[in-house]
Amino acid sequence: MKQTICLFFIILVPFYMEAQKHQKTKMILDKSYQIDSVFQPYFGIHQEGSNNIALIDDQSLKENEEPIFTPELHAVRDPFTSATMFQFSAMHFRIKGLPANFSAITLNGIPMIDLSNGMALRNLWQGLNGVFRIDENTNGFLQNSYSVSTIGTNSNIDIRASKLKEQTLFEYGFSNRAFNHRFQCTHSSGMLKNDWAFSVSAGAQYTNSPNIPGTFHNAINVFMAIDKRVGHHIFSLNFFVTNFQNARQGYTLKESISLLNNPLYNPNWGYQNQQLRNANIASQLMPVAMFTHEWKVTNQSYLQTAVAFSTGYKNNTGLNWFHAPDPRPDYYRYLPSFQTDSNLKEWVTQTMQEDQNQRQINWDKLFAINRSSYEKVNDANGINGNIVIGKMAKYLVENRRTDVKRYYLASSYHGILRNTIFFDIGITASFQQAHFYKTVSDLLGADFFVNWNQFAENEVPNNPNAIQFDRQMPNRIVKKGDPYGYDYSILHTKTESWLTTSIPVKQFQFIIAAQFGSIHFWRQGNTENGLFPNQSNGKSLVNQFLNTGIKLAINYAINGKQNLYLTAATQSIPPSSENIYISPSTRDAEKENIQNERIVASELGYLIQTKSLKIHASLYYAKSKDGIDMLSFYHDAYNSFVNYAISGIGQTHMGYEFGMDAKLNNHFSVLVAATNGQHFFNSRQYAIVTADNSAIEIERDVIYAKNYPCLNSPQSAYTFSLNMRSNSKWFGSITATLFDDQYLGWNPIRRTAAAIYPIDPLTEKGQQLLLVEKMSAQSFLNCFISYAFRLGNKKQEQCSFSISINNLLNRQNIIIAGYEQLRFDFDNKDPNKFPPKYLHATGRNFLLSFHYSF
Amino acid sequence: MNYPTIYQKKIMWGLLLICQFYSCEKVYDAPPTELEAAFAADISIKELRSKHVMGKFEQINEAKSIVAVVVADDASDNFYKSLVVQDSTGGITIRMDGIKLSASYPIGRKLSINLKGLWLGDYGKLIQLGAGVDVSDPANPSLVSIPQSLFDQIFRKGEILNSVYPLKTNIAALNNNFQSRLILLDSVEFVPLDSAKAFADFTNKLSINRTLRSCNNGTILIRTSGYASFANAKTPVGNGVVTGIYSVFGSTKQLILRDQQDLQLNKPRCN
Repeated sequence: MKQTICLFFIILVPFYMEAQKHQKTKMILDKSYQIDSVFQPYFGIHQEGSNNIALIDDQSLKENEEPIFTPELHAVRDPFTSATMFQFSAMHFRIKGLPANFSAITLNGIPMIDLSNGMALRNLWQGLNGVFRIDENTNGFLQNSYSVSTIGTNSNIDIRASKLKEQTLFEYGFSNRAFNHRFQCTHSSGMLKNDWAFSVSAGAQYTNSPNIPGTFHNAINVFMAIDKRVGHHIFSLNFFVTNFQNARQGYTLKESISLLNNPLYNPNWGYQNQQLRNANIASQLMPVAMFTHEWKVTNQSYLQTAVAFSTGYKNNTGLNWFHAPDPRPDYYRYLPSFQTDSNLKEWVTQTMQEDQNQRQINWDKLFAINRSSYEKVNDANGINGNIVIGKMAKYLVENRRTDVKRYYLASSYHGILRNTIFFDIGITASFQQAHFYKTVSDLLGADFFVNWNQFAENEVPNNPNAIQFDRQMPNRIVKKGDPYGYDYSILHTKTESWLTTSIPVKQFQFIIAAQFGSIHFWRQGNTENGLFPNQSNGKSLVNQFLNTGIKLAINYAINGKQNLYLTAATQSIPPSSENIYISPSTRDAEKENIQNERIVASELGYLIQTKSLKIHASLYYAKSKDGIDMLSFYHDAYNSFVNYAISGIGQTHMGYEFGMDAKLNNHFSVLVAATNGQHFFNSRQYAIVTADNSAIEIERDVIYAKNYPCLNSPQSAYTFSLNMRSNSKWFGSITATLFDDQYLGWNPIRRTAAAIYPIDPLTEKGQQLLLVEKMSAQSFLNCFISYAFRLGNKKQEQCSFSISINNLLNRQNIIIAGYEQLRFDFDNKDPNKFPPKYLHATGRNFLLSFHYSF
Repeated sequence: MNYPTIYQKKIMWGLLLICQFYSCEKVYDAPPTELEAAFAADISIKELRSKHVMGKFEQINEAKSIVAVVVADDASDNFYKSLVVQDSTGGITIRMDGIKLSASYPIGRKLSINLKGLWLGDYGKLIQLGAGVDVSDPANPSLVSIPQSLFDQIFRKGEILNSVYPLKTNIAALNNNFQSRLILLDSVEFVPLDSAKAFADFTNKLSINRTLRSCNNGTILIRTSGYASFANAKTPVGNGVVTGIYSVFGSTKQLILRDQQDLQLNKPRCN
């Protein structure tokens, strides 16, 4: 680590000297032209009018190549951020290794956050990337004038019609990635003379021949915006919706891959009547309507208020089974490694290789079993003596559905005191109701299913009450579309107020930000569960947490082109409802001793901003404590689903980030980004173990997590791009990216005394159980070429073709991420009985795009 | 660029409509109902059993098959990881390395069993069919169960018969030829010591033997697993008919029930 820091400063010094030569300008000039809209009291790095002769911004061309769920596009281009958004998105890279809920995203000032876990709701506008461009982005340690700052990245997107680029745009993309075809049409009028502005965009993505078997991504999206300016007021309406269906790729075992010699093996699908069917399909339809009002109070201040409403659903389908063998083809008992006899191992291997139905889901077999499954249900639908006889499903496809309603309000005032002190002050309030339930999607040839909890049967045998998911309607017969299983809602209200000021004193700028918030949430059960009749139905106790945050920053403007900054922040993050309820599907029991997670963080950074050179280099440090988590899995020793309520999670993140965008001449430029960090757990954790279907606490464990790596993001990433522009028409770039220091998502349950005893941790076997697999470094070589030209004489009528090719060298076996299964062999302590699962990247892949705008 | 908003709105509603149509779920074709295969046996179970020498293991190398009906499955968990099948000549127990076998192989299911590669062995003189021999304990080699991934290759499924009729016999007549067959014994009752007792130790998951006696002399053990769904139920005190799978442990005669319905002891006891 010391070496890296030294190296970092050695790199910095020459740049510092170089930048000193540039003439000094007052940085305050920068914002005067902006005060009307984005009004940013300093700090983002603005893309000035450079001598960019390209008809279409090369970044925006490249942006169309993004995978499905990536962060938005950035108008403000920090060189490090640009590199991470495009090149680092190939892996599950996280900036500074910070968890996703440490970052926030706001739309017209409204924090678009899922209140149950703090995650940004990016997929609400998935596919609409052309419209949802980030106009303000800070990396968290800097100032953020739109909302409460978090430690991670903070982004604001302004989707008001008058803020969108005036154009009509047709786009078509052809690809062998997540989708095959992509269409998008956008028309934005800009602010018209009559003070109206309109924007509409619609598009679709479609897959007909997926590169990963059994997957598809089909989506449609619509965006509408209307603005009306009345004097000093702008009234804006927004509506957007995306509807997608996504058949997913499964994580796979090394064994399956070597068995079939196919890194893209996907166990999630199978043939049904010769038709390919994926069991795990995610879909979402969640329209958002938004009203925004901006009042320019004076020339130097404005008040912006926005309200939003969103309602819709997200759904995941999955197989469920009752009194029948596991239908998943890669279940450990079906694999050759489960056989101890070498002849049988060979026999099973051969069967798997030769018979498609053995390695994929055998839908026809599931149908056959359901069709021969005659059962008699007594007292059906809660009516005494009501007997139902028929084919009762042993297998079914279920919808795990969440119906969500969200209301948001955000208001902020942005002003200036004595012409020098900028301040932003705001409040936000949000309400979220998420209703979780299951419905039957497909009975697979059976006549009905009964609303019974099969796991309760093992727990409390021969008790007709215990197996009821709903005691008020025992033995309910369910058919296609009917709800069954769990049924509960989690409701949240959250309010927050925040303040940011920036005080310039000569060449210094002092930034102070503070926030104060509170969150309430509770569970509302809609059924009386047979196992927990007194804890499952009705409203639970209300949880309330207060959180605070303070951030201080000093920025020193060395000259107009260079800045040095130092920030320090402390923040508390309230626990999320996802991590508090031990088993929300059955009862409202909560963890004990819940408290806020506390974070302290600091960053020292250096910026250079000239026409030909942009550099952002920084050192960061963040430390958290008292985090919590909830893990659920099938526990072999207890023969039951268990819940590990984990507390005392502390993480340390430190490292450096370096980004440089340098124009070598009018034809060549390079973009370089590098980051290397140490992200690890800094404390032991504690787990309280309970069974899903029993209130009894099974055990308490210490998880020996200290110094174990944080989960599933490469801790080092480097990229180098060479961009070439021959004339105003051709553009090309070639990029090499390297990822390293990525660790397998490790299983905390394996790092407990209960799992290890009586094996000596220092023996080979002990080490095999405890050490975390470091994944091999991965590299990508990507290229991008575009050709743009004008049609006719109109300046704005433009056409462009582009192609982007990723993984140019067609490297197979690239592992994006992996995790150790939580299920563990407590009896024989064999880590290979439930071995890790991995997600693989595809080989060479491309996107061909065509744009036409006028 | 300045056209009426009504035009734009129409486009919007049109797009929303498309959105609605699009969001319809994909409908998958249901596969046809299973064709009932016409099976022909190459050898009978009696012939198969005759290949076995007690205490030894024999691999079957010819591509031969037996055709049989499932007479006991694991639905009540009294049988665990095994199926009992019979044809008109005899019965045999198959060691299966899977749970919830009754989903695919319920009682009454006709099966064609491809014997190639399978092994014959015995456990306490009960002849069984398996997929290999485990010699990890050389003093006590044992039969390896058939791996679940091979089920579809070895067992071809046929129709499901509505009822399987037991063979009526008496305790005295039982010998090894009756092994793994569904039999019916008349005029039997539990001995007084074993009447109104739990079938097995459900709490500790232990098997228990209860003695059944015939009014006309002779006794047989009813052996029940601690995992059986009826393990906690009490043995009836009456006299009557019992159906079950005949099994042996060495020279001990045992009867294994498939569920409680196999006992119809509601007549007065004999004296």
